[in-house]
Amino acid sequence: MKAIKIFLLLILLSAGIFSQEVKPLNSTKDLDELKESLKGKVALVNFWATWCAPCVKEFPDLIKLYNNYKDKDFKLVFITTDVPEEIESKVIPFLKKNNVDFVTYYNNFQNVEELINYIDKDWEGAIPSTYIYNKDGKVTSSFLGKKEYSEFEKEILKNLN
Amino acid sequence: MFKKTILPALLLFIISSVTIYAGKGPGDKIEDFTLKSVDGASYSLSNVKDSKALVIMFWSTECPNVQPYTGRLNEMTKEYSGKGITFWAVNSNSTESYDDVKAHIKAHNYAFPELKDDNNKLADQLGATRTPEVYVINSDNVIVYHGRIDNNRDASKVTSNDLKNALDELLAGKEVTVKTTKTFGCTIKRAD
Repeated sequence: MKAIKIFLLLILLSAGIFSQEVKPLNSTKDLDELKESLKGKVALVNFWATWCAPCVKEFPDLIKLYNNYKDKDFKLVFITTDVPEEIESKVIPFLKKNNVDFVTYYNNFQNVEELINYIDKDWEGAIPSTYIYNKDGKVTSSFLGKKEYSEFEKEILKNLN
Repeated sequence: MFKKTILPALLLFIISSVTIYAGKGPGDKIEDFTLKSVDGASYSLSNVKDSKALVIMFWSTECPNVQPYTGRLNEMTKEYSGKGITFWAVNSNSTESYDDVKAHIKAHNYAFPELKDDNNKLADQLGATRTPEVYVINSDNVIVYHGRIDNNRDASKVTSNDLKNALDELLAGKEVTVKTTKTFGCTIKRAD
């Protein structure tokens, strides 16, 4: 009996560790809520997609940042631009493979320009694109294209200290 | 004291840490440029004669958001060439060689030339950052439309034919109504 209990516990634990919660971003109201939830934290918001090779290459470094700073006032937010029809088939398996154990988001806007312009009016939508927010919710730096771990870390440390 | 020393330094820091390619948009005139095709032919803006407009499409051999547009752009080129519109695909990616482009053209049987933008000079002049990203230049070398081809890479789900609309309005002698649009795409890989 004890062995069965331990076995069940292990199953539950492993399911919990690798469970994926992927939420849609439908409107600017959702972005307002997300932004509000990040107040008081230094946040790195990364726009990516499974079809984007540089995004996929950059992904492990972002996970490394998360693991190194998750115990500080740091939040990592992934927003995928994969189409909603491919969340189950492509995004979730990718997140599982990379051991992402926190809530991530996907673009579900009717008009994608609203999302792009909300984030940055000068951004044309090229990915990967990364924005770092300070604890007051202001963007302190933005990165277009794949960047190195050290570049992100430098900016995060500036904001944490 | 703060205003004189710290504030300018702070502003400089903020500006230097944000990646922005100051470019051109609708209403701006563009300077002449020359690009080479993979077979060595030169394509210059100043040599585009008898065209009502030139469509410049920032292109890639690798970007998965470009490939679904092959059929649509081939059809559009055939349809609009007869109406006086010229289409050029421009490859500004430093990561893609002349040989890559040559193989890409052969594989896709493009109805338009794919030109190499060495050292991303044209991408820099226009401030292009994405593939696909299009600019429509009228016969006065002024940008009249900048943005996406349409609003869905899946042709069956397109509800807004932005590039076509701009070309139709231009051909009808009207002002382009929607001059700028955005969508997601791959970054242009500039030379270091």
